[in-house]
Amino acid sequence: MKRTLWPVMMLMVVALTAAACGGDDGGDSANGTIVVTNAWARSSAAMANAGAVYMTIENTGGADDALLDVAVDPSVAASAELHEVVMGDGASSTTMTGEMGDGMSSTTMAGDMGDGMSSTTMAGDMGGNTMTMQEVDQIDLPAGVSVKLEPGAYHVMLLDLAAPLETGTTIAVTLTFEHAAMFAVNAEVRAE
Amino acid sequence: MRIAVAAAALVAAMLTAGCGGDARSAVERASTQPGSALRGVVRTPPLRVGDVVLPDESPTGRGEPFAMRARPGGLLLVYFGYTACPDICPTTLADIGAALRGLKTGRDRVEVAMVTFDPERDTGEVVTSFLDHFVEGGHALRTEDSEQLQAAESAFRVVARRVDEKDTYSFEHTAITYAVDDSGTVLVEWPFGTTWQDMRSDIELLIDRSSVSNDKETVP
Repeated sequence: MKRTLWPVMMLMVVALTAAACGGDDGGDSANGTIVVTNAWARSSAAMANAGAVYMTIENTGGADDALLDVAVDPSVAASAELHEVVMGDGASSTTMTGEMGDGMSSTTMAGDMGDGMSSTTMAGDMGGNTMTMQEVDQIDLPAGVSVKLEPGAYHVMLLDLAAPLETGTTIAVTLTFEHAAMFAVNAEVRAE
Repeated sequence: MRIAVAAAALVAAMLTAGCGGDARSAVERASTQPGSALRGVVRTPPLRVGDVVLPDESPTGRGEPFAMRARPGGLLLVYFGYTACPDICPTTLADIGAALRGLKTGRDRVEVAMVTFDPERDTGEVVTSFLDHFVEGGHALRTEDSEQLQAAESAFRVVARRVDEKDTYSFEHTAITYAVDDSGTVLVEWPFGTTWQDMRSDIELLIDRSSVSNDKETVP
C-alpha cells in the first residue's frame, strides 16, 4: 500500500513544479492548438512612443496556421503591427530592403549574427551592414513548430504608446490567426 | 504519515530547485571569468573619432559640446539610434545597461553617449529620457545640422537611411556600439546581438588595460 503511493506523489511533485514555475514566464496562454509562452514587452522610457512585444508561439496541431494580425487596446498604443528586423546592405534602395526580408527567418538570422561576431578581427568596412525593420503580412506557424518573436527578429511593434510601459504591469495583446480562434495573451512588462 | 512529510519536503526541494535554476544566472557565473581576448569586433586599423564633436543636449553635458573621447583612463560607449525604434535600439541600450550594472569596478570610468539620427522627432529631452531609462547620466547628442551629423556618422562608418512608410518613417541603420578610449580611438565594436555578458567582459578587460597603461605613465 505504501509503495503504491509513490507514483501518485511523484506525479503530484511534477504537477506542482510545473504549475509553480509556469508563473515565472508570464503571459502563458493557449487556445486549442496554439500555445503562447513567455509573452513580454520591454519597459519604455517616459517619453518614448514606440514599444515591442515578444513571445513564443507554438502550433501544437497537425495543420499549418499563421498569425495574421495583432491588436492592443487604445489605452496601450494607437496601433500594433507585426514587424521583422532584416539586414540591409547600407547602400540598398528601398525596394531592395523589402526583397531582402523574404525567406529570412528570425531564427536563422539571429544564429548567423551570433556566429559572425565573436572574437573577430576585421579589416573590411562593417558600416555596410545595416538593420531595418519592416511590417510583415503574417507570420507562418507550421504544424508542430515553435516560432519566436524576439529582439532582433519578429516582434509586435506598438506605435504611439498611450502611456509608458511600466515594469511589472501587463498588457493584453489580441492575436488573430488564419485558422485558430482569436485570443488575447497578457504580456508582462520587464526591465530587461 | 512519514511518507507524507517526506513527500512534502521533496516537493519543497523540487520547487526550489526547479525555479531557482535560472539559466541567466548560470550564464552570468560563467562570464565572470574575463577572457583573455576581446569578444567584440576589433577593426584594423581602428577608427579614430576623437575629432567628432556634437552638441550634448543632456543635463550631463551642461550645454558643452561633446567630443568623442573618454575621460582620461576611461571608456566611452557610443551608440547611434533613434527613439521611435521599438526593437533594435532599446535592446542594445538595455544590454549596455545590464553590462554596466554588474561591473565589479570602474563603473565611474565608463560613460555612455547616444547620437540620434532623427533630430526631427528626437528633441534633446526625448533622447535624454530614452537614454536615462537604460543608463542614467548618459550624453544625448543631437544636431539639426545634417552635415555635422553626417560627418559624425562617416567617422564611425555609420549608415542611417530614412525609410518612409504610410504615415510615419523609420531608419535602416548600422546597429553597432563603439567603445572609445581617451584618445578617441575605437577599441572594440559590438554589433547588434552581442550579449551584455560579452560587453561586460570587454569593458572589464579594457578598463584593466587602461589602468595598467595609466600606471606605467605615472612611473618615471
